[in-house]
Amino acid sequence: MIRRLLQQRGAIVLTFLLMTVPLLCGVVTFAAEAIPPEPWLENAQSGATCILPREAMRHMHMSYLKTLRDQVVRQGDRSLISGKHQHGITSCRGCHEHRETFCNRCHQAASVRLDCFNCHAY
Amino acid sequence: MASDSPQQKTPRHAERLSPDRDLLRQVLGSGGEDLRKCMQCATCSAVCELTDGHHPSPRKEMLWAQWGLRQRLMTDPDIWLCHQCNDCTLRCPRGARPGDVMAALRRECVIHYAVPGPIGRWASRPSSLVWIVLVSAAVLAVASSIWQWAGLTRAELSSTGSRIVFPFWTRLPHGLLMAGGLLLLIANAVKLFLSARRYWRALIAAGMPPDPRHGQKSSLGAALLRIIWHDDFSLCAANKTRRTAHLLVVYGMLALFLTDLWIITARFNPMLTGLVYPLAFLNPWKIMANLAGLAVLIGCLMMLIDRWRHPKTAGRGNHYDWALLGFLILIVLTGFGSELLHYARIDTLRHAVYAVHLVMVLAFLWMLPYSKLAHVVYRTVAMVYAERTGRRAFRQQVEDPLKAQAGVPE
Repeated sequence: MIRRLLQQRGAIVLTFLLMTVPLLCGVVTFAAEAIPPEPWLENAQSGATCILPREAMRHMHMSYLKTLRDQVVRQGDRSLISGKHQHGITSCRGCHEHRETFCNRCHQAASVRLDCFNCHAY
Repeated sequence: MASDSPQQKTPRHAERLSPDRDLLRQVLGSGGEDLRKCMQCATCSAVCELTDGHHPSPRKEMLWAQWGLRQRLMTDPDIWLCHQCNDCTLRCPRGARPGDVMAALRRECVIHYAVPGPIGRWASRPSSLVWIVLVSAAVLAVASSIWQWAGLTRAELSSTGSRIVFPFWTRLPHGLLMAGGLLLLIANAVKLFLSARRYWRALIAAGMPPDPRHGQKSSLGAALLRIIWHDDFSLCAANKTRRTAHLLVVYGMLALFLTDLWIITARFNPMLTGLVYPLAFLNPWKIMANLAGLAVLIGCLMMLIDRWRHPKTAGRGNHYDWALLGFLILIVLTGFGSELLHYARIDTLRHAVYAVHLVMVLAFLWMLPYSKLAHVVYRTVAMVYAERTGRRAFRQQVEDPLKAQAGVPE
């Protein structure tokens, strides 16, 4: 049966097509990696302004939160997370309601793994 | 070198022949030992599916070989247009085995047009094979030491970082193997090009002039198409296994060559940014390489079994045939061997098998233009010549319809 199959030209055409498969796989992977989807983020609910400008929050929120953590845990200074103006991680929820559409989208796109939410509810 | 071309002083109607005893000895000693049994009955030409009526082969080659007419045989495209179906050997009433004589003549042709000539002659001796392998092993060892001493291994390791999980890499880094392989590939391309040009010029000088109706490009295209489809193999009546086995080996080697190119260009290829070497088992390139290796192995085993079971239609095989087949089988087996030993994590044995594999590949590469694999070039040249001079077209337009009309006897 194999011999009869190989007598046909279709077998040779098929071989050539199969040889292009790895190349096509590479091209598809390359193209998919080259244009990453733009993460869509949920906007703030109310018209309230954030504690820092948008660009600063995008790039520095992680260091800000860590500074806050050190201030609270190591120095016992709870002034920023209590009272009228709360700057803690749970207070983000006042304007950005859903973690799925606010935090997670961007973290997934950037392949960031974080352990904030292992303890803190959001 | 003895020549059978007409001497200047002899009259035009007479031709002085000076037989080349060396040629006769070579043919008799490499598979054509039954050559002298030929009585010129022409059964071979009558049953051959590939010859044409105006240039009947292998009958005329049998006669020329018996007479030792080197110049005629070496400028004869028919020895390469033959695909050794062995219909002639099967039907020969005297057992002169014309198919094997043609194979011996092809071997002689590779030696005749080899560049540089003396190396071709030396590499054609069976005893040289041992030296070729030993020299390859020594060259690889020395090159690896020099590479190490020059600090190129360390440079390569630091540039690739932790992506490489291949312990043997430190002794035989890919930079060294690629540099050597590339050098040999370029040298082979140049040598084969020069040989092909010499052969083409000899063919044109001795035979028919090119037919202006068949252009260079269209002739090359037609010949390449026939090679791609293996059309001439499918004409074989006596041996059907040959086409299947040859297809498997050709396309398997082509796919392996593609994979090699891919790996070599990995550093500069934008589509391979995430390359981790060795490739994962389910990587598309790895899948293709494994399938291609299997195809080559199966094709080679089919050829071996065919020779063992049907010695008459498969051909006796001269030293060139066995060397190529042996090299291919050894290379594929050691390749698969090191892969399997890698999966089994048997490191010491794997390194030994991998070293044998590399030595074999190196030996195979540098003797390529002097081996049977040179038929890729010579046969293509002969097929282009048959198209370019109009021989092929004449056969297709005039002879084949006549043959069909008369009915081909079974």
